[in-house]
Amino acid sequence: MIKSRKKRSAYLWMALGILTIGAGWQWMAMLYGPLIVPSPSETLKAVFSLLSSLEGLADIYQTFYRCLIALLLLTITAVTAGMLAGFKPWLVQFLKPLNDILIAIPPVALTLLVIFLFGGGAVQTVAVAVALGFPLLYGATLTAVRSLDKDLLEMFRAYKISKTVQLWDGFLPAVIYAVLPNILLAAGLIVRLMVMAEIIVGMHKGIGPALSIARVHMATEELFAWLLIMAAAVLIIEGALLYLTKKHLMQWQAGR
Amino acid sequence: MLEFKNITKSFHNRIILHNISFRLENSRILAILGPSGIGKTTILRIAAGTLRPDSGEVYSDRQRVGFVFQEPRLLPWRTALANVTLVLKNNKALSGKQQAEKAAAMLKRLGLQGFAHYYPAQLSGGMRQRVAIARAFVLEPDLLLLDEPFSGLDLGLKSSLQQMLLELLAWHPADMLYVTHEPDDAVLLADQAIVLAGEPGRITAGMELDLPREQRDQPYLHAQAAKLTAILAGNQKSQRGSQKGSGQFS
Ligand SMILES: Nc1ncnc2c1ncn2[C@@H]1O[C@H](COP(=O)(O)OP(=O)(O)OP(=O)(O)O)[C@@H](O)[C@H]1O
Ligand SMILES: [Mg+2]
Repeated sequence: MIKSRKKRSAYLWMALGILTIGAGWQWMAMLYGPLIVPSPSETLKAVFSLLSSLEGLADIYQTFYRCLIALLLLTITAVTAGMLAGFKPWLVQFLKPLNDILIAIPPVALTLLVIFLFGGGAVQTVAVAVALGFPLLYGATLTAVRSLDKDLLEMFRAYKISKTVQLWDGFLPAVIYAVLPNILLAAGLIVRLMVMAEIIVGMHKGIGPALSIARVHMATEELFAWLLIMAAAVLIIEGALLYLTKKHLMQWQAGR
Repeated sequence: MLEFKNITKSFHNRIILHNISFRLENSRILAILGPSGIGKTTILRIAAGTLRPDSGEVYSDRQRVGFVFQEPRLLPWRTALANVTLVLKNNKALSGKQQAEKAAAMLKRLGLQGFAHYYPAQLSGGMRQRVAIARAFVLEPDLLLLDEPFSGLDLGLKSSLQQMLLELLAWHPADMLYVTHEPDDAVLLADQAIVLAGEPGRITAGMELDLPREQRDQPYLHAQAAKLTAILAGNQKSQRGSQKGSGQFS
């Protein structure tokens, strides 16, 4: 009961936050006029027309398809690299320069570099998102491996547990659960990077291209509608991933 | 059979254990007593083979080792049943289903039927400890290492767990090293006891309990516990005086 009341007040504050943004937005719209800042209601109308047009849906599908591929590739490469590096200290040193470059380099610069070297295309946008997301997940995995419970490792050795069982029942769960929040972060990061990469690479389909077309046509309500759709999509993806994992997590982390 | 011969172990140039020797015959229980930090857990780790001594030798013809650690050490993301099944996975003679059945039966023996699908975080401290004991026994170990398995449990739970341990031993005999700091617990279970003291830790006294466990009555237990308590107290006194330990016990 106490919990549900807490939850309700949390939702209330969130609703209040949304209302405040809406009110500020409405005020700006009235101040600048619909050509520069479309009102919330006009934007919502544009959202619905985008969502009910085949073209709009195709753009969304394209971008999120690329994001999904990028997230999968990123998770596999970064978690594998992080786990290997966790066990082989030389690999940490070997990967450090690359990791530092990826952290330091501005996303736009890397995208331009990729175009310069490999030309434009969908594969390149995915590569950019994976490369820029790598340090986040790699670092988190490395930390997770390093903070593995030494006592559990000794238990494995005392009971002569085979390496495969150790991997499946010990290392992988420990790492995945520790890295999970970062995978959620990476999902949001990838959506943002993807839209940027799509624009710079000059893709023809996707949310990025749709945004630049809207800008060229001065269709501000469409521009705003895309922003709204992206924000909602990131929230929905994170919420869904969280929901899928939380049920299981809450069970074994109960009372912590 | 398990034998330690002149085992020495140091951590960071500090000698912890010095010249430890003892011999444990088949299906016997050796209690190890001594103050906190003396090196009792270190002895168990050396016996389990998870820690290498600096010098000296360990002889053991034991294959399957069950280790109940000072803490439960369960996998938090696995249920009680999966935690017990874990140690059976090496046993290729059993199918996955047979392993799970065996583990479930062991949980039941420890009064945990109905909790097989609970995660460690959903169990009480005593229940977690029982899962750890089930994990050690399900292997049908021929060497059991118990590191203060009952500390932190209330008296009722402790004596019922001790009873269970005795039943399990009658059902499946094993060599056992039993670390405790309670003389009462030691004389209840052990066939022999050693006391560690000094810095570095060495064996300063030993004691045999020749009466079979089933024949030990309250007067006998009281007398033996008093004897062991006196040894422990004497140790403390002599420690304040000289640092010389008397050496070995076998
Ligand atoms: N991995 C380690 N690195 C450094 N020192 C250690 C390590 N393990 C144990 N020690 C030291 O060795 C000594 C003995 O430790 P041990 O855990 O064997 O004590 P114990 O007799 O089991 O104590 P307690 O009754 O408190 O459990 C302690 O002084 C401890 O600080
Ligand atoms: Mg200890």
